Amino acid sequence: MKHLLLSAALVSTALADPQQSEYYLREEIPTPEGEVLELGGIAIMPGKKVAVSSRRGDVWVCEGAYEKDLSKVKWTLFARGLHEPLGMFYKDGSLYLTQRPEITKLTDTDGDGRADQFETITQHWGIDGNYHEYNFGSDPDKDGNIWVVHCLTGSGGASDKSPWRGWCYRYGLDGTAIATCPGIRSPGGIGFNQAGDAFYTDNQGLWNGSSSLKWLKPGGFMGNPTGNKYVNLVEGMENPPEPETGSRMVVEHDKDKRIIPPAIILPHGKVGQSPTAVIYDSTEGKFGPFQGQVLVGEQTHSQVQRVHLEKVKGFYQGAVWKYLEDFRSGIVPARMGEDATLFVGGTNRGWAARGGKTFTFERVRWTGKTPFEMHEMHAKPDGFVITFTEPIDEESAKSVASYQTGAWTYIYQKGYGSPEVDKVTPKIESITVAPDKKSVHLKVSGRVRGHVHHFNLAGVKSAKGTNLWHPDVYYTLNEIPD
Amino acid sequence: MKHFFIATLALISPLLADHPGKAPYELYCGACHAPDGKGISGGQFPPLAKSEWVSGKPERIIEIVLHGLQGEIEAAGKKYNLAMPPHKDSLKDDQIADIISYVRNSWGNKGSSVTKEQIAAMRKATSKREVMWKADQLLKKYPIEKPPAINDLLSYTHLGPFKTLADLRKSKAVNAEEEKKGLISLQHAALKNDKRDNYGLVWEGWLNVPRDGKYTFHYDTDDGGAVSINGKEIITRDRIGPAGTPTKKSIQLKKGRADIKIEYYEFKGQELISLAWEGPKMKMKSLSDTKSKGGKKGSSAPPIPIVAPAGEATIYRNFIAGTDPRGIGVGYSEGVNLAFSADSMSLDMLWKGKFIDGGRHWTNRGQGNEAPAGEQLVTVNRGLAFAMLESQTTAWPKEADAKIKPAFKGYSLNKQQQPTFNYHFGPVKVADFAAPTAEGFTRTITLEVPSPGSSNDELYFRALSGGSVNSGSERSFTFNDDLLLNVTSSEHPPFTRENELLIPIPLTPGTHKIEISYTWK
Repeated sequence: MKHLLLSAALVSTALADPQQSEYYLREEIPTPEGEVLELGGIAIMPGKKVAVSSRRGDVWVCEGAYEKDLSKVKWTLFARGLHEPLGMFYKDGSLYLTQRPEITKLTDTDGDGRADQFETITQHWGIDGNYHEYNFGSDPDKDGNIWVVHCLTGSGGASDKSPWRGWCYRYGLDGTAIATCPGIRSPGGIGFNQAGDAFYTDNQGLWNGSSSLKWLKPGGFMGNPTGNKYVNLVEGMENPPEPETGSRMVVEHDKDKRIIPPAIILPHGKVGQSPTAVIYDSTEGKFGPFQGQVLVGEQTHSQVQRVHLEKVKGFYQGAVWKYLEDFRSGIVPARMGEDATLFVGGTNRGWAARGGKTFTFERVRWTGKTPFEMHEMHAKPDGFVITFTEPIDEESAKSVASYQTGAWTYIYQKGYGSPEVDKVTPKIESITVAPDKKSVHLKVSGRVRGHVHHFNLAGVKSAKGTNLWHPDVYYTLNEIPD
Repeated sequence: MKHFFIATLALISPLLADHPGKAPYELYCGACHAPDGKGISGGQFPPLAKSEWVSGKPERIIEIVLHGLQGEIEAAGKKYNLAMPPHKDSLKDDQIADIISYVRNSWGNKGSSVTKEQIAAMRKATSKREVMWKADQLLKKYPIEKPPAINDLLSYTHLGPFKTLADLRKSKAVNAEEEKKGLISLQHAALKNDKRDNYGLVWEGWLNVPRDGKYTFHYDTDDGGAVSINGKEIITRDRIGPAGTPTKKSIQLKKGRADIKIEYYEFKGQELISLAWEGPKMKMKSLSDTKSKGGKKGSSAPPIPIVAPAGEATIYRNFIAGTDPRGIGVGYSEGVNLAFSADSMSLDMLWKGKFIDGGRHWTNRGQGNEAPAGEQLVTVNRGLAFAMLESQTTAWPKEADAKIKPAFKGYSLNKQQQPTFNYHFGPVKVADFAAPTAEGFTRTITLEVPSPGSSNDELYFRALSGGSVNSGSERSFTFNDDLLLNVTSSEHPPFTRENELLIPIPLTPGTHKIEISYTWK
C-alpha cells in the first residue's frame, strides 16, 4: 500500500510540476583520467577548445566539449604548477590567469600544445601564507583591465604582510594597478553585467548579514572595513567609510553614499549559502528567454541562480530566482561558451556541497522549450511589476490568494552573519494584469526600504494552466522609485 | 486525487517526529553535516551522528555553535581540518536551542535537550570571545567525557637514588594517591619541582579489554621501569638511560578486566614516561599523559607525492616551509630539487631525493606550509639576492633600495620543463637558470645592464648566507659542511665575509654572467 501511494505521488507531481530536464539539458563532461580537476576557471579558446584551470594549479585544454558525444572529448595538458588560480580568460593567443601570488600570461610559443612562457603581469598585492587569501580575477573590461577581488586574510583579518586584502583592484595588462573598491570580505567570483559594470559575490560572515551580489562601483565601499588600514601605505589616499556595527545597510548608506548596499541579497539558506561566479546571458535568446540577465554560481547548493538587475536612484538592485540545479559538485566557475553552451565547474574540497562528487565539469544547453517563469521584476513607486515568460491566466493572477509575501533585512554588524530581522508582511492592495497578459502590477503597502521582499506566486498559473517552475522571488529593495 | 495525498501526508508527518530543530538544522547545518548527521560527501565533513563532541555535557557544543571551531580536530575516530563559522550573530537563541536539542537526540545520539535560556546564558558568559575555538583549547575547557584509560588507578611514590628495579622494589612508598584521570603521569603532587631526581613511581589499576585477542604494549622510559599484566612482568627496562627506544611486547588477553602494574624510576637528569597499547580493532591508545617521541605530529592529510616525470622537471607553487609565500618549488627527475623565492628573487633552498608532498595543500582547505620532502636540505640564502653596497663591509640590506627594487617577471620552460626565472632589479634584467646534475646544480645568472649604466655603484650578488662559509680556493667554497660551491665564472672574484659569500658585478652596460656549481658534500 505504501509503495503504491509513493509511486502514485511521484506520477502526480511529475504531471503537476515543471522539471528542469524539460528546459535545460545538463551533461557531465568526462575529465582526464586520473586527474583531480577541481575547477577554478574556464576560458573559451578558438577552434572550439575550452581551457579549464584547477585548484591544484593545472591547466587542461578540452576538445570536443561542444560535441554531441561527450565520451570522445580529448584533453591536452597545457600547464602545471600554478598557485590556486581563480579566474582565467583567453586573449590573442594567450591564457591569463589570476593566481594567488600574481596575474600571469601563459603562452605556448613553440606550438607544441604546452605553455612555455609564464609572464608575470603583476604581483602588486601581498600574500602572507594564509590559505584563505583567495584572489578572484575577471575578464578584461572595456579598458582592458582585469578586476581582482582580494579576500581578507583568513576571511576576517588583514595581515600587515599582505596589503590590499579586502580591496578590489583593477590591473592593466601592462601591470598598472588602480585601487578601486575597499570593503571586500570573502569573494566567490567576479564578472560583469551586460552594461559592463563589475559585480562580485561576497559570502555571509563579518559585516555580511547574508551572502550577496555586490556592485563594484569604483570608489564605492563594499561593506567590510577590515582592509581599510592599508590606505596608510599610500600618502594622500582617502580613508574609506567606517560603518557603525549593529546598524542597517541603508541607514549607513544614507550617512555615507560611498557605502554601496548589496545589489542583490541572496538570502542565506534560502537562495544558496556560498555564491560564486558572476556571468550574464549573452546568447540573444539561445539559452532561453533570459538574455542579458546575470547568472550567479552557488557552491554549497550546487546551483546557478538567475538575477534581474535595475538601477534605481543611481544604484543597482533587483530580484533573484533559483534557476539551474542538481550539479554534481559545488559550482565555482561558470562561462557562457559558443553555441549558447553554459560551462560550469565544481569542487567540494574544504567547503561542503551537494551533488556527491568531489569535482565536476558540466555543460548546460537549452532544450528550446520556454519555461513558465517570472521574467523580470521592477520596483515601482506603489509596488512592483512582475513580467512573465508566457501569458498568464488572468483569474489566478488577479487573486490576492495566489501570492504570499514576506520581508526582512539583516543586521549590518561586525559579527558573523545576521539573523533575519525587522520582519514584516507587505500587503498586496490591488493587482492589475496587463492587456498582453505578460505582466502584473502589484500595488503593495508595507514595503520597507532596505528589506528583501519575498513573493511566492504558487497560485499564479499560465494561460495554459501550468505552475511556475520557480514560484519564489526575492527582491532587494534598496530604493523605492519616486 | 491530489487532495487525498496532501491529506495523507499531513497525517503522516507528525509521526515522522518533526522536531522543531529539524528544519533549521537542515537549512543551516545540513550543507556540511548532512541531513542524516553523517557528514556530507561520504564523511568528508565531520559527522554529528555518534560524535563525542555532541554528547555529554551540552556546554561544549553550545560554544562550538556560538563561536565556531577551526583547525584540526578528531571526531568519531577521523581527523578533519576545516572551519565552522560562528553562529552567535546569525542565529537566535531559540533557533540554536532547537538545533542543538535535535542534534543531541537524533541518529543514535542521546543527550539532554537545551533551552533558549541556556543559550542566552552562555552567550552572555562568553560575550567577550571574538575568535573561533580551536579543538585543543576547547577540550581544555570541556574535556570529552570518556572512561578512564586505566580504571581504579592508584599511584605510589618512592624516594631514593634508584638505579635498578631491585633498588626500587626494596624501598617503601612514601605516598599513595588515587589518579582519577586514569593516566600515568610524572606530574605528581608528591614530587616537588625542585626534586626531579632520585625518585620512583608505581601504579596499579586495571584495563577494560574490549575483546579477546593479541594486545601490544609500548613502554618508553628515562630512566627505567617495568610493566606487568595480570601479575606477569611482560616488559622490563632495567637500565639508566634516555628515552626514544620504546620496548614493544605483545600478549594474549581475554575480554574484560586485566590487572596492570607499571613501575618507573628516575635516577638523574632527563625524565620521561610513555605507555600505550593497541589491539584487535583498537588503534593505539595512550595510557600516559606524554606520548613517545616516535609519534609524529603533522598534517593529517593523506600523502600526494609530487614527482617529476622522467626526463622532466615539475613545478609546485604553494606555501613551502623555508621560503617566502611566493616561493616556487622545482623538482627535477635527476633527484635534486630547489625552491626559488619570487618575493626576493633568491634561490632559497636545495634538497635531494623526494620533491614535495601535495597532500597538505590538496586536502580540505590546505592550511599551512609544507616542508620539502627529501633530504640533505640546504638553505642557501634568504632575503634579497642582489643589493647595492657602499663598500664591501656594508651590511646586507633587509629591504630593497628604491633604485633597484626586485620585480618578478615570470619564467620560461625549456622542453624538459626546466624553468629559467626572469626578474628585474631596478633597470637590470636577470635570467636565472639552474641545470640539474646528478650531484647538484649548475646555475647560470645572466644580467643585462641597460645603456647608459645606471651608476658607478657596484651590484652584489649574495650566493650564500646564514651558515659558515669556508674558502677552499679563490673560487671554491664549502658551506656548513653540506655543500660545495664553485663560482666557475664571474668577472670579479667572489669574497667571503661572516656567514656570507658575495660576488660583485660591474654595472657597466651590456651582459654580465655568473656561473656557479652547487654540489652536495
